[in-house]
Amino acid sequence: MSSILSVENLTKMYKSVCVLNNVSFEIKAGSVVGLLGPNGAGKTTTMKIIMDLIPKTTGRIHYDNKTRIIYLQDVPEFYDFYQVKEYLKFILELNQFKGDIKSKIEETVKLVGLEAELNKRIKSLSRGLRQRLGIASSIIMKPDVLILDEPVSALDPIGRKEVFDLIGQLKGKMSIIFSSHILSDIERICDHVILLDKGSILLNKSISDIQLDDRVLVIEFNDVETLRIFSDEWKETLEIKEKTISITTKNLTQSQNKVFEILHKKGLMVESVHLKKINLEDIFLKEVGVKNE
Amino acid sequence: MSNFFILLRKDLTALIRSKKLLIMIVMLALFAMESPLIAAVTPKLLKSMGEEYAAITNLIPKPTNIDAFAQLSKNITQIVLLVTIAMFSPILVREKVKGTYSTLKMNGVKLKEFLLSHICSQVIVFTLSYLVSMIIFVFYTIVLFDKMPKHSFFSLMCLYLFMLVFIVLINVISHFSKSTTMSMVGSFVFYFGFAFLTMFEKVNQYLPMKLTDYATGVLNGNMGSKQWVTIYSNVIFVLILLCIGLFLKKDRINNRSD
Repeated sequence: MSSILSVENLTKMYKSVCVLNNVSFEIKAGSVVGLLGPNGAGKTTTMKIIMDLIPKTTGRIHYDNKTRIIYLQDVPEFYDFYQVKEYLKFILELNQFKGDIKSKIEETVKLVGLEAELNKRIKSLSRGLRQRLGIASSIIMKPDVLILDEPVSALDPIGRKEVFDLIGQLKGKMSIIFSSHILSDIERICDHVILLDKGSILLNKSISDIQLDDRVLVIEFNDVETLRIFSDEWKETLEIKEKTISITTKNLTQSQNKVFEILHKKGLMVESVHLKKINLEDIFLKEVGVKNE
Repeated sequence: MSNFFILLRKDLTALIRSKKLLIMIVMLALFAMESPLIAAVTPKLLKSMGEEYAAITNLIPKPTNIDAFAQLSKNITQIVLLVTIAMFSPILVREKVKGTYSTLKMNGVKLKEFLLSHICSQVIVFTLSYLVSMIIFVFYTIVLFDKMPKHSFFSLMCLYLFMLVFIVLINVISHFSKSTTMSMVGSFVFYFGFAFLTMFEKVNQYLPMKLTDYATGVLNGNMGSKQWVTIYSNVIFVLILLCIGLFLKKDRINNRSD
């Protein structure tokens, strides 16, 4: 896939505070990219700089002049005095749309599930419906890149699922960058993840490279001495936290056999052994934790 | 259709549906009705208060159509102007603060089109309301005082120009403001600043406030170059304000590569 948008050494200073520090990444055409990070990481700043809504301090944003990029803020604002269909018509007119406006509006509201609200005033719409309208107005002109800032932050679980299903439907039709705190959703939908913390990129990988298929064997010991004997005998990479050892493995059977062999050989007793699947939350906490240490 | 006309239609729709047009028409129409009525009725009211006020009522001259203009001028330059500032000054800046301007920008709207459409829509709303109210004013003045004074059209145009200057001014201030409060405070600062400057004879004749003096001063009198100096200086002031709004605040453009 070719790159449709690239950010190069982007830095943003607010007076003496650095909120983005040499951030660089590329967005491939048709990909879905999740922008992760705790509050204040610089996600919204990055998005707004790409859209030229706030000025950058240094760095470059590269995209073709013909590339159409649309940004949708976390709580979208509209002209509330308009009806849904009037607002979408207004957006089409601003873009000098030449085709059949009526059928274009009908096609878009059908995609986002707003058919029943077509003649309603925007001010009467619920948060979830407003979010859908925001997405409808963003995709109606088929942008090349759609940037969604926390698109589900104000929604209940059902609303969140609906919006993510919608993003899933758009996958492949345009490049999508979105930020979210719901890591399981990012894991489900995204092709690529960029993890930001305190203005710097901690992780920039495709989901397939993150090895979410790895398993973790978590062994809880009765005392620290037993744990020390085990770890001396293991001789491979493991993670120790208080009385617990975590072993990340690709070959579960082999690792399990080795664990039980050491326990048997040394006559060690354990409190519990359980298996965990690695998810994005583990990686997020690990990366942010490492940076903060 | 160009973006300017699409935005103008949007801004007019907003002013109509938010009932700002209705408020402006009703307010101006009430003052247009009230001004000649108050001018005609006040002396009669005082006389009806009884013999003990005879000393005062004897001093009051017979009301004329000029009194109706004076009353109208006072209402427009005070209440109408303050209501206009309160109604119009937050509109433009609110779009930037809320983020609706960002949507426009992403859809190809230029900052100049955005500012001009707001100014034009408000000028259209005010003009329409002013036209309706002036028809009412002329009707009541003729009914109560038999005729209109000499130079009455010029007088009404002075009041109209005074309001236009302020509509452009409050939009330009709103354009440069970062919040609705800053926009409103800025507009009032200019209003009171102009009022303060009227104390200085040398600058007084160039100020918008001078237009309101002429709105009554020229009636049944002579018009000379002084009035035109004030009109021209205010027209130039409006053009300068527009240039400041249109050219001093620019759209930022990111470094793009083909």
